[in-house]
Amino acid sequence: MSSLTRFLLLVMSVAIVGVVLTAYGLVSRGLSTRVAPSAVERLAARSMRYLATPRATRTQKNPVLLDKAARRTGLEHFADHCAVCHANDGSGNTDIGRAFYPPAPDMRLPGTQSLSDGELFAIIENGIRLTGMPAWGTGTPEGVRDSWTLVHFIRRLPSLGPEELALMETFNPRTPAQFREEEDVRRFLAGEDATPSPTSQSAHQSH
Amino acid sequence: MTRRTTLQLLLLTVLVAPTNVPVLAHEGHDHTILGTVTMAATDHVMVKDKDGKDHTVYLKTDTKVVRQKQALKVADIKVDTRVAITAVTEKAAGKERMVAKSIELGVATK
Repeated sequence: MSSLTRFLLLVMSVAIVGVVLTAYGLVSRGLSTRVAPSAVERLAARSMRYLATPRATRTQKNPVLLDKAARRTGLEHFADHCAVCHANDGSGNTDIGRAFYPPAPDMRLPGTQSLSDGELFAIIENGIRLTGMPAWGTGTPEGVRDSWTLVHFIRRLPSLGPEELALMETFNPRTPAQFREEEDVRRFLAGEDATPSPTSQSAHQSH
Repeated sequence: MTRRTTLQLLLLTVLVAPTNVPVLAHEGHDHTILGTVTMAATDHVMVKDKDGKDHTVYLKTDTKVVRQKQALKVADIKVDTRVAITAVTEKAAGKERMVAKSIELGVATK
């Protein structure tokens, strides 16, 4: 047996042992989404995002006029439908957004903002496979208009001010428990005596 | 284990092996802490809740400080002020700690 053959056998043996050990780790620990996606999975997700957009849509311009009404509609729509995962400011910093695999992106950054209007529209309409992004398209003219209006709002995410963010909070969906908790917080901060025990408590908020 | 299952396991291993190590910075659920500030520093605040339990919550550069929807600065957090802190648990260097996403200021108790 030549030295080259022995070397190749050694490399193969080490590789096999490595694969077996990693496989054992996978089987024994299970697959969790509490980890960072691998390069392969990131590539797969980005490929799916790219493929969400039909070629003709990629270069399409936003047909919805950006006026005051569209700004307001986009803000309300985003706060009501999108913020539970993406957060009002588009950071993705929510319980659900952080737990997705891959996590919801920070939409204020170039990774999202560099996409064309058509790509953003197609992602909203078609969703992204292998991620948590659902398809919001309804196939109706109203749905198409709403998605294009959201594209306008997504462009504004990097420059949202505190007043707009505060306004959005009034449009975030709330459960009865969240309503009660907000009332508890308000009364506590106001110094009202009849507050329930203000102990540390878990809150599943969307912002 | 059949040959097919073995091959599937090997393929899965190659695809996701780099992800098998837990990420330390994964955050938990949001928590709301209601209490009164007992100490305010530039990087953390200490709060005593109504049950007398002390909480130390660390601040980040993106921690929002507000009072009645008005944005304030960390320096505006004063001792003896009622606060509602929305925080998440982060792991750093093997230790868990609470990091504030936002701090809403209320009335002063004294």
